Amino acid sequence: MNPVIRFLFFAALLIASAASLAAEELIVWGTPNDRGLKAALRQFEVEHPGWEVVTSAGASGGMDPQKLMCGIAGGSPPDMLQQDRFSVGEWAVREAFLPLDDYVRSSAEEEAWAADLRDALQREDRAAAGTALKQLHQRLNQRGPSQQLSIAQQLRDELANGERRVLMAQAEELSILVQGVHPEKFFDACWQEASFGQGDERRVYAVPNSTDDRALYYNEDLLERAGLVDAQGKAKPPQNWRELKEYAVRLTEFDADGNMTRLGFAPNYGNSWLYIYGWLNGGRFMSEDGRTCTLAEPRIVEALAFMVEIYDALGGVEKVDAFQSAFQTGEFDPFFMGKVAMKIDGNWTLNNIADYAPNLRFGAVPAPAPQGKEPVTWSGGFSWAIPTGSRHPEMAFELMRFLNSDRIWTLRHQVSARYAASRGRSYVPSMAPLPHINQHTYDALVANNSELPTRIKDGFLLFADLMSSSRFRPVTPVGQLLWDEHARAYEKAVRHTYEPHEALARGQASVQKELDRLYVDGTKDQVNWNYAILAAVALVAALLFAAYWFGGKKDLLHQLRREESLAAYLFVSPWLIGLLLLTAGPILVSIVYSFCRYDVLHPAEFVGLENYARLFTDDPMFWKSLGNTAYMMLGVPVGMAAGLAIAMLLNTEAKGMRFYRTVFYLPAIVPMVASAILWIWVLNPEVGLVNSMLRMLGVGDPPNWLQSASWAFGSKSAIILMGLWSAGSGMIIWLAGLKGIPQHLYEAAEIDGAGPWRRFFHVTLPMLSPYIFFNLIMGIIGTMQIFTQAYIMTEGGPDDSTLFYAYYLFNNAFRYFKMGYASALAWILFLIILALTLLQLKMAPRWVHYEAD
Amino acid sequence: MARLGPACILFGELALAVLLAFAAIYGSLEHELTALFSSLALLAILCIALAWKLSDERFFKLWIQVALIEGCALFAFPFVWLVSTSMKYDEEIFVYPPRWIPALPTTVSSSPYATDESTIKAEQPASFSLVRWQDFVEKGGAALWQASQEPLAQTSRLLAAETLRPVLKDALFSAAARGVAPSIWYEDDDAIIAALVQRVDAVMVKDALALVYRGVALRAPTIKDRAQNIYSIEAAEENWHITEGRGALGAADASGARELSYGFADGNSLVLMGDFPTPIDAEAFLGFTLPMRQDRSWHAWRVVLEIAGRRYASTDALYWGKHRWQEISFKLEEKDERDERELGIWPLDLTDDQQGAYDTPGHMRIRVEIERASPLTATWRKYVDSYYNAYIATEHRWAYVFNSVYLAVLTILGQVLSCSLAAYAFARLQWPGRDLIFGLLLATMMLPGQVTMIPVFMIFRALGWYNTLEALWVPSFFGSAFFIFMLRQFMRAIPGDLEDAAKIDGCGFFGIYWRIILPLTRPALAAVCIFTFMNTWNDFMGPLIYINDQRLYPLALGLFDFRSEHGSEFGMLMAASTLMTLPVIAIFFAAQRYFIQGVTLTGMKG
Repeated sequence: MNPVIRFLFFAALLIASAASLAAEELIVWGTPNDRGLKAALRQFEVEHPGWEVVTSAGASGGMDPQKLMCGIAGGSPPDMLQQDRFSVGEWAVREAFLPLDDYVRSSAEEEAWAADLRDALQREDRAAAGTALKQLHQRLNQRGPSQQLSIAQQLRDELANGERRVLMAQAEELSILVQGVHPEKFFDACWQEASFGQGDERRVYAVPNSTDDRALYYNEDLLERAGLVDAQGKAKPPQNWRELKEYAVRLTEFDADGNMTRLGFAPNYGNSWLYIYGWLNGGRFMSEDGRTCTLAEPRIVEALAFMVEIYDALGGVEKVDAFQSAFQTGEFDPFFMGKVAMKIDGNWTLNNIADYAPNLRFGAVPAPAPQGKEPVTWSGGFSWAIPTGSRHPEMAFELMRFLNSDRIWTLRHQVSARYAASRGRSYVPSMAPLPHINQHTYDALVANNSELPTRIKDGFLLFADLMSSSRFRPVTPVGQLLWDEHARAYEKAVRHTYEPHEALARGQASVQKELDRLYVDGTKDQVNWNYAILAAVALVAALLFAAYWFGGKKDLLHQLRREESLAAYLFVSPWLIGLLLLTAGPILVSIVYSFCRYDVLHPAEFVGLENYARLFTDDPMFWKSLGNTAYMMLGVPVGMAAGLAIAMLLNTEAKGMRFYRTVFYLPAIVPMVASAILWIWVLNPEVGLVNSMLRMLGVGDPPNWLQSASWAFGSKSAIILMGLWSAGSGMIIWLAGLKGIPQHLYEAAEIDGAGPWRRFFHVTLPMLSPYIFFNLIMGIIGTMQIFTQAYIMTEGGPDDSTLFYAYYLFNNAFRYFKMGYASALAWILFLIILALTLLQLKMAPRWVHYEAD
Repeated sequence: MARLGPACILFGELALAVLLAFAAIYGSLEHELTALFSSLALLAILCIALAWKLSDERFFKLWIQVALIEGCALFAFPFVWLVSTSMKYDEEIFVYPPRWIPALPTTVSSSPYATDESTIKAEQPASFSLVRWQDFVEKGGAALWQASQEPLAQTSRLLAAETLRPVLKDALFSAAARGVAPSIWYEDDDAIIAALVQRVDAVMVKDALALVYRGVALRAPTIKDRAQNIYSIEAAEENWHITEGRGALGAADASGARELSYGFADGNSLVLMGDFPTPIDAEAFLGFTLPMRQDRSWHAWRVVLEIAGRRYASTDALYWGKHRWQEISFKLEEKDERDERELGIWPLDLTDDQQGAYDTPGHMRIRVEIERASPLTATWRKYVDSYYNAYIATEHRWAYVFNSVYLAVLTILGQVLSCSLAAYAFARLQWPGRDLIFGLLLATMMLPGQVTMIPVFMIFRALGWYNTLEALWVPSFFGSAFFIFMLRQFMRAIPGDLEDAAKIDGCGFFGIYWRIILPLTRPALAAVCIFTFMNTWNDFMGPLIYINDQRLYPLALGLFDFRSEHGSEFGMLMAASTLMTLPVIAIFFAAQRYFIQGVTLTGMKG
């Protein structure tokens, strides 16, 4: 290592460690782009000297659960984290989050003591004040230095002979500073969504930090133009499902060629899903006791049938999706542009309207329910939780309490409002999980804000009111699976793969099986790792012995002693050590897991061959993902050919070759995050480049690409197409190979009268065969593990058409907490790849030509 | 006739290029058919002429060159999009057809002004031909302009009708066209115009005006004290005035806003000045906030504050780059050193020149000095704006860079050393168990990373590598199966003669590896370096799991974090991505020399 670099590095480390010595760190994950929150955290540091809040923006358990899972399993979780509330239950039931009831109670206790103190001082009862103060001081003292503590100390010192007025003021300040967490002050839905358990077992696992809910937005102009008006000629929003459907059809418009030009209403455009329709129809997705999944109950089937009906009435979901695919965001949001007349969406839409279309004539009303049923809304949001293994749970809760106190909410909203103003944006406050805070925010920042249109102010109030009639997703250990299955049932039904009742019945069965495994099967024996290690050692010994036995005993020993062998072992040793340490161990562990039920957060339980049996007999998704992945193999030879063609082009003599090579390599360098956006545009069915070329060439009805589940020209072919474009990355290897072909071979061939084609087939290809072999093996291995595109661009959809094997494996491991099952999947994948590779190795001597052999 | 084949090939190649160009520029091919077909016809003639004129060899060279250029365009296009997006205004980003060259900012020598840069053109309906549509837009615009005179009269903007008309009528037309029923486009012109005119009302005119109007306006500042309390000032009408340059300030409207009109006919600067009462004493004074609407002219501006006999000035470059109301804050750096530029709070520093600074107790004086931007500087400022914002929004930027470079250097070193050694043993040495262990090596590539992730994490944690960079570079010294495999394939193709000669000369195995195999493997090693560099540079899953401390983040994780914070601010995100991508491109560009050295292999024959 260069001494300068070394010095710099240690200097950096030194600074880092010096900083960490100075203050105790409170590590908080999942703090998004929220200036108000950041300001609040700074204020916390000011009021709690000796503490530094270390934040990390991403990496809560939402989109990237790996970090949290590794952290908890490996014993180094954050001290506190923000989590999408609907998944709090899943982590909580696996004992990954701490129950907070005791903390909640004691925070209320502290507030009560402070109130007692104040009241006692009011009465001039210094003895009672002393008692209250003593208890409070003791509690605060346990948590270490803080502003509260120093006030309490001051009070204690001066209580006997201080002036009453001064003491009162201090007690007042103290009671504000120690304001506790009161469950009854929160919206009930928010608090319940963060709690889990039956009867006496019920505990709360998170303190809500935000909430949202949904309603129907409509464009008044469009309704009025279509004559959907009341007696005064004002736009009249739909009142029930029948009207909703009627409006959807009447407001949707087509041009003379039958292309959609305006979407009246699409059931799943915006933020609604089957959930909200199910609840509107009075349905429940889980039984009261949480043991039975009721996804296929009649009211939910009706709800799904209703969604399907609307899509069919508009000409089918593919048509609507294709129209939607040209939609943009920001100022060009289709709802602002009048391309969509109505949508069910969340309260956050108000903020966008204020920013981009402040003069939009819109209205918001509760989402219509079927005739005679109560309108309800769906609320979600984020919460703070303390993971098991947090090093400072007391302090973490102190921070949660602090963040939910009235004065800090005021601070958060003020700072956010100022930040918005500094960027020239309007500020519509996000909704707090506390009704009284929302009322306060409305009075302070909304009602008198002259920049905000009245409609938006009304909207803010509507959404706040709606919270009292809100539903939330079931808190269950299978919440993620239930979500995925409900989305899958929706896809299957609107695309008419299955009838609604059948689609839902399939989803219900899949969720129920998982529930039964958790509740009915009971616990199994924990894995005894001693046996596992013993078995591993025995296996290795047997292998070595076999090698010795079949390798020809004496001969082997003799060979081992040769200088060449010793040198070889020495050369391979770094890799071998790494193999033993970082690969063999974990692989053995994963074999053991594949025979276990293992959710990462609990010790593994041995279940024998159950995972493998289930895989083959009881898991349609396994076969589906295998099929999808096999299809992607088509891309391997095509990609290789493209890469070789590029390499040959780049292997010619032309000016500026360095520049060309770099440019051809560019697509492999540009981060996927950036290029994904571009690709979605290129493949857009309505306005994308690819389809506009196809139309030009006379293809009347070009494919819907990423929006289509078709096998021939759908999402999978689109991903292969994208792969071709980064063929440049394989080019390096081809180029190295081409450069290695001796020129004299070509010269000889030319003298023998071989034309360009013959030279290619009889010189280039054979000489490149080791590289072809290499690229083929790597291509197949890479394809079997294809993951990123599905993860970033399609999330497995549409209709599971990009549910690739590795993505399915990832979902099982990190979304459904089924690491054991995922390990079994990994081993099957391993065996498949192994078989394919062995086959190739076997075939290789027939066509691979090594000059040295 | 033999020449027809090559001519066809060249034509096909060029035609594809033309198609792509048209598609990229217009977003679709349906509207520009005449231009497209005539350029294709021209190309065909050109190809045939070339085929007959040029010799075979030169024709082939031409063919290659065209293929290269065309491929370049095709393959560069994600990167071009990335870079151009980083230079766009928000409203330019999601438009169809996409804009490849970011718009040039309007050159503003007098303000307020009107611009069509934010206007979205109305879509041409299928029932119109291009020519008829262009005529109709003109006609409809004129009618709408007439119809909106009355609502327009009620607005109080300082812009002459003749300046406003050309851009406002288009904005009105787009707004009106968006609101009518699609079936209307099949009727005759008069009926359509009638329908369009019917859409005109006060709200629509106000919206359209807001879209095209650019002008500066100011309100009285607010004051902040050291405890972060905010005080508003009751500003007298005459507070802001112009002390230098040509301009005028309008009267305050209901919200206290005063419109500024200015012109740079003679001279390049403009100075506004205002004296304001401060309700707090100078000791407690921290800074002030200036509510301002800018005019997106990209003129530079600077704030000078004089209070209690001291003169402060803003140190950062500030530009009029936005066009909505903003609250721009300034604070005295001597009283609060935290860098809060990202929050829109700019530091004010004591100036060298303290001569005659304003010193009236209970008052402060604010000077706003504006300097004209030439078209070139305005363009430059617009194009780098996102980069600058991304730069100030990233707190630990230099730590990220340092960590990334440090990791890249160490991992490359580790991979090259251990992989080449192991590959040599696999490719060129005979030893018992070689094939078995090689099979094992291949097998390790086949297990998906997700399943070993957690056990590996536990091992690293037990070694004390959690939250250290060791977890990210030490594994590279154990080599990687992919590179060993790749190098082995490469080494196997090296002829054995040299090796035998070395053996006869008494060279040991390490000597052979070091003196013969390594130099001959250079192109493949260069590939290993590049792959390793890219993997390390772009890897974010590793750091995500192992690193907790922001100061130890490499760039990729920094970018990931940046994305979760600024995901909706596309310009900034793309600027950050571009900055992260540039080193990789530079390294790739430079490292190619080593591929070319692959020719050393062919040097054997001589």
